Amino acid sequence: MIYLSITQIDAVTGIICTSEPMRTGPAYPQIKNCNIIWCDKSNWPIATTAEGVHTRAPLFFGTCDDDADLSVTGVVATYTEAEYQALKTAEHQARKPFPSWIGDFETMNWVPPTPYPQDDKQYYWDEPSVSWIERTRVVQL
Amino acid sequence: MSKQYPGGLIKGTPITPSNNPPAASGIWTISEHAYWQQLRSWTPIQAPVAIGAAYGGGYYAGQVNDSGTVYNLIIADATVGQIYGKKWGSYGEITNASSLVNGPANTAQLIVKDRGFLDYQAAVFCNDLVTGGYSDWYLPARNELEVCYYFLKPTTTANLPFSNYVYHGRNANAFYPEPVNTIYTSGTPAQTTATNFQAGAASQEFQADYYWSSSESTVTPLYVGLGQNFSTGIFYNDYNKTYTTYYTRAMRRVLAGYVLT
Repeated sequence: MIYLSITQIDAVTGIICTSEPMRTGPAYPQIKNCNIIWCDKSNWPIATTAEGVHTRAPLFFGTCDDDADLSVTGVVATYTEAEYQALKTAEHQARKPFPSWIGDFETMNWVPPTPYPQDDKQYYWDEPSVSWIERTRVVQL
Repeated sequence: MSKQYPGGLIKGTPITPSNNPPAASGIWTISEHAYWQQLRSWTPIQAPVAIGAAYGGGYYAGQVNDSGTVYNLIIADATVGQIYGKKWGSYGEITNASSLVNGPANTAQLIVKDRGFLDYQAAVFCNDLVTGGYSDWYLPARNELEVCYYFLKPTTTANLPFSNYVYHGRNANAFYPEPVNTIYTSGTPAQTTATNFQAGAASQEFQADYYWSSSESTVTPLYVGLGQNFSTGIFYNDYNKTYTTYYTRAMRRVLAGYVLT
């Protein structure tokens, strides 16, 4: 199994997103048994040029088969398992919304120490009190 | 009740071969016959690609019917076109961005109101976006945003059909296969089948959180910005347009065709 990162290419032309605008829309390179597990979304949105070209490549991390062809456009880098885990840890930490929240490294998610109230009101997290505070609102459309 | 036309056609539905009229042995009025001749010359409106597939510089999200003109909605790539923490506008300022379906017009109105002061951050973010070679991105109107929820709901969380005295899900501008003006059920819409938009490892998913639309509602005593929660589907309005606890996702649209109104 190979640990790798890939980026987006145009769905039809296959041109990488940092070279030309993805006029058709974004797609991923075709790599044998490529399983994307996480991405560097803590750094999104990425700026674009005046023509709509990504100024840097968004990175999608995962694994693929050992005999996969990695010479295709859109493959960014390969990693050792240790390098891959270090990058994943850094991304997970970058997504941490509040100091008190509890992380799940497998899903890359963070959950509050107190669950979001199960009703139809809107709340925001108040870190000093470590609790959800109800927001005032107008009720009718 | 929708009006029925010869051949079983109903206003607002796409014209497909299955809508062919019965053998023309019945008695039709001249106007009905002329009407059917007109219909036969039209091309059926179909989805250009599957929901969530690459299309038009982003991803295809569904269609809306804006007074007989049907548009394909395109959601911007999340790597460049989705952001958290933008406020809708200025507290208490009336913008007249009142359309529930015309996001481009609403956004233009908000940009005029902004006057470069960056009060209308969500609209400015979308308006300034250039990606996929396109620069006509905008902040979706409420019913355009609702189409995104209907077809690209990220989670398996049950919908809330009713809360805070409001029924959720009604969209007068919905277009096939989404039913018009229909309240959600707890299970409909369900989690999207577009894997790239499902919560989890997906990269393009809407967050299970609140999103701004560009629509303003004339709720007394203040004009409010409208939004929607992408976890339970509830329609939301916020009189304090300066709140930043919302996501913003840019959209563009292209003409798909016309239906009778």
